[in-house]
Amino acid sequence: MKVRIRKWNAVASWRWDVPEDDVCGICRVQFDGTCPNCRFPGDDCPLLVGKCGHSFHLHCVNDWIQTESSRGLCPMCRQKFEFVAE
Amino acid sequence: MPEKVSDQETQSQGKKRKQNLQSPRPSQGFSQRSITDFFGDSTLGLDVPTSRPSSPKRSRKNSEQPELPKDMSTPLNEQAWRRISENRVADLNGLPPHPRDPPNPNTNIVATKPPRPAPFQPHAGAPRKLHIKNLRKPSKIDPDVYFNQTWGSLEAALAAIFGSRKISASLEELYRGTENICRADRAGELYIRLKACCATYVGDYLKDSIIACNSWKDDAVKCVVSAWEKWNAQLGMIRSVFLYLDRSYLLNNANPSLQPVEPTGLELFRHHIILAQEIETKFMDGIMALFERDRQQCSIDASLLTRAVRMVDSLDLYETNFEPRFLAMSREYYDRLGILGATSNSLAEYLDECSQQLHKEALRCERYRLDPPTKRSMGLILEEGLLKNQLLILTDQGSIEDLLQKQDHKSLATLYSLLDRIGEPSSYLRLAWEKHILTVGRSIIEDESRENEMVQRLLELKDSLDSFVRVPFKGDDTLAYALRESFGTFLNARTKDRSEMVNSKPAEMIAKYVDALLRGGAKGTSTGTPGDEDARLAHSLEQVLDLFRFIQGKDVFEAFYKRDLARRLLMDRSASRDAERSMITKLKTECGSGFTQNLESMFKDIEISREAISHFKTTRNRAGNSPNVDLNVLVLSQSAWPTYDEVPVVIPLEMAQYLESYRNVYCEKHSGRKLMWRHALSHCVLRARFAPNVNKELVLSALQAVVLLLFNDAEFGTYLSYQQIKGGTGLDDKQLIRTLQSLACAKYRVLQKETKGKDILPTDNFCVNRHFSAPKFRIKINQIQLKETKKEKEDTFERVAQDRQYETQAAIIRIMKSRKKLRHNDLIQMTIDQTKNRGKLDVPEIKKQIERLIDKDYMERLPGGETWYQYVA
Ligand SMILES: [Zn+2]
Ligand SMILES: [Zn+2]
Ligand SMILES: [Zn+2]
Repeated sequence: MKVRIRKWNAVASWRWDVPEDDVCGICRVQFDGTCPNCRFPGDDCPLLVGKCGHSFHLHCVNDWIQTESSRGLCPMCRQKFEFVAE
Repeated sequence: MPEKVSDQETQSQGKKRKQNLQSPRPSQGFSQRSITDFFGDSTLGLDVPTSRPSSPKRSRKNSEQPELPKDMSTPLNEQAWRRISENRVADLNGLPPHPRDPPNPNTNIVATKPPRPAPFQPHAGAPRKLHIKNLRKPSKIDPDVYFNQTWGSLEAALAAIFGSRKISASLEELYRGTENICRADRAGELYIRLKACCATYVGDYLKDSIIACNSWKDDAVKCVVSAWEKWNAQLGMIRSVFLYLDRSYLLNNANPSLQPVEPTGLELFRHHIILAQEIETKFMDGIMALFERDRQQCSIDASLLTRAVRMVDSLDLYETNFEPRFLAMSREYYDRLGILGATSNSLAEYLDECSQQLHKEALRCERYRLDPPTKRSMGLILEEGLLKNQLLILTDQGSIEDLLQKQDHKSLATLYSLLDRIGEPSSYLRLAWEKHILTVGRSIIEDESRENEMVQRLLELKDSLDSFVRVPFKGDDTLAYALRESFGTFLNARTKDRSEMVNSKPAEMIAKYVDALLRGGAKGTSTGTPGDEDARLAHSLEQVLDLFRFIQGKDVFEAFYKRDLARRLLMDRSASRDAERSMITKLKTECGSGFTQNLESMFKDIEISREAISHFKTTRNRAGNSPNVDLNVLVLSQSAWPTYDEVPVVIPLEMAQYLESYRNVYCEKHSGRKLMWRHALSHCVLRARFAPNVNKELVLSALQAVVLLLFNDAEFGTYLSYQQIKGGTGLDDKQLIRTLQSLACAKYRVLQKETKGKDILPTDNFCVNRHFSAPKFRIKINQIQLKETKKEKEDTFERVAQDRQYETQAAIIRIMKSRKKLRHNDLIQMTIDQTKNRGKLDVPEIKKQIERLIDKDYMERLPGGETWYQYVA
């Protein structure tokens, strides 16, 4: 018997490379979901990983930094928030 | 109006007579004023009231419009008159000259004028002479003698009329005699004599002739009506003779005892004949019997009955003697008919009978010209006897349900319109209607053996119920509302076994049905509908959505819908992209955008994946080291898709490397992401050669493919043990058994199990089926992937229940956060309201969640008799 693969329809799933069940410290939604203002996870609503080790939805942390009370600090650890460049 | 008509009539009569009179007698002197002048020339001063005596016509006390008098004697009168006047020329000689001027009977104004009337010329021509003569003196006949003499000939004429003989004297002569008597101021005397003469005839002769009639015993109506018609004809002739008496004396007499000739004659008939006890009873009974026989569909002389009713009407006896008796007799008849029909027939038969009786009786009233008030009363009598008295039988629940069951639209339409006559139909029908819907609905929902047909049957039921409302129930709002209520009730009834849960079977089956439709597999109910495939599909979807709207547990539907959509997308089994999209739009309206957001995300993943693979292939092709496999990869956003168990499996090395290269490219492009293979969801196409000339293309799940690839290059007859296969594929027992079963024990057996039997045992050995054959080249063996497993189904339910708890808790917290303090019952109600379009919650379920939140210190119970909750910040 000869068997040969002609076509392979693979299925994969992606998730953010963060510990499972982690939630965004700002909107409290799991990272696999979107920030409250977005509809589609992924490139439309990316994550931002801080140098302090805390990650947030890009949109969430953006909104946070722009508030005066944030003083540019990470809302979790109160260190200056700087993100890891890709 | 009638006056004018009769005026013309008299004029034309006059003209006719004038021609006859003019030729033999040239005009001469004063005496040429003939009788015709009285008809033709009204300027003479004799003001003749031209309206004929109207026959006594019934006029109801309250009737607003009196009926027009109908003159029945006219034709007879005219005929008789014409006959007489054509045969004979009146001879006026020998009779005393008639007085010219009514105000002064002793003077005559005679104008000598040219034969033709000339226009008035005051100062031209010869002067006219005016002769005034006293006419009393030249009269040689004594007035009494003249009266008796004339009465003698009038009496003889009357006798001739009564005896149906020819009148010997000329009518002209008789008329003139009457005229002279009247002019001599003896009209009153003449009237008394005439009346007495007629009374004797009617009271003695005519009455006796009725009773002596051969058919009197059996057919009194006929005898009376014949006599009546005969008398009418006679009366017409009498009136002609006594016309002058009528016109000059009776018609404008204020004395009520002095009636014109015809009414006098009618009154005599009425008094002496109809109202005579021995005749009245028998006659009226006869009429009633005719009506009754007509109702019993025996043949009767319909014209006789019509004439009898008309006679009763003419004699002004309709309201007094006829109608009360007729109504009483009818009431008794229909009461009896109601009792008889309702108890001996089925409801359908009885309804038919009722509507026929109502229809026929209305026609009967028309045919015999019964009064509108009588007709109305008859309507009430029939409603009373056939409907109101038999209401218990008409509105018997069992019988109505039976009609619904049999889809007897005709009977139901009849029932509805009959009930509409006596009240609000929906108030009588509602209970049976609801019960029918619940009974049939439940029987469909609970029929586990025909679970797969559930939605189809529900759609058919809905269709048929809708058509009940539309056609026989005339779009009745209350019944339409009851339909929706009851439909919702049975669709959302609690299950017997899991009393806490609403039966989610309908929601699940509806989701499945939609899936079948979108895969192009279900026919829908619109068979035979013209139009293209897409329009038919859209219509079917619209129908099933109508059903879906009744479902309270939308979350169950959503969970299954999502799973099914995922499967359609992964296996590329969607029949129409457009239909999928329009369905999403519809679901957005029904379930909110929170639900459809995930579904849209799924579609988006498919799109992005397509772009990604084409990007990957171009880079790989440039590198030139791709294996000869057509690779496609779908990358799912985990959060949007249903959760799938991870299935560990060993992929053949070359393929695994190829996939790995894809993963590298992907992760390079999307930093911060992890990519995990879902091999249990993958499928592939394998080319297999079973024998030198048996080449097949197999569509398999990745797991099936991995098993089959172990047999590559194996000699026919080489067996691999279960354990060998397990080691080679890395599959766990559950997955392996399922996969081997699909390859060796299903419709297409590409593998052969050493031992017979459907069960796979760890001791089994397998080899390639060398005799494999199938008519088609391309064979799909991956149905196993499309089928939902029992576990998947349980998982879905589990997830729905979990989501429900989570959403309930979230709702309670939202409410408590805004209200701070709430009474127990208010909290329960508000929670139900907030979550109702997700799935209807049970009170015990909400209580359970409140307890949990209290345990988790989100809220606390306040001390006191009534239960109050306080939010804990
Ligand atoms: Zn966030
Ligand atoms: Zn966002
Ligand atoms: Zn931090």
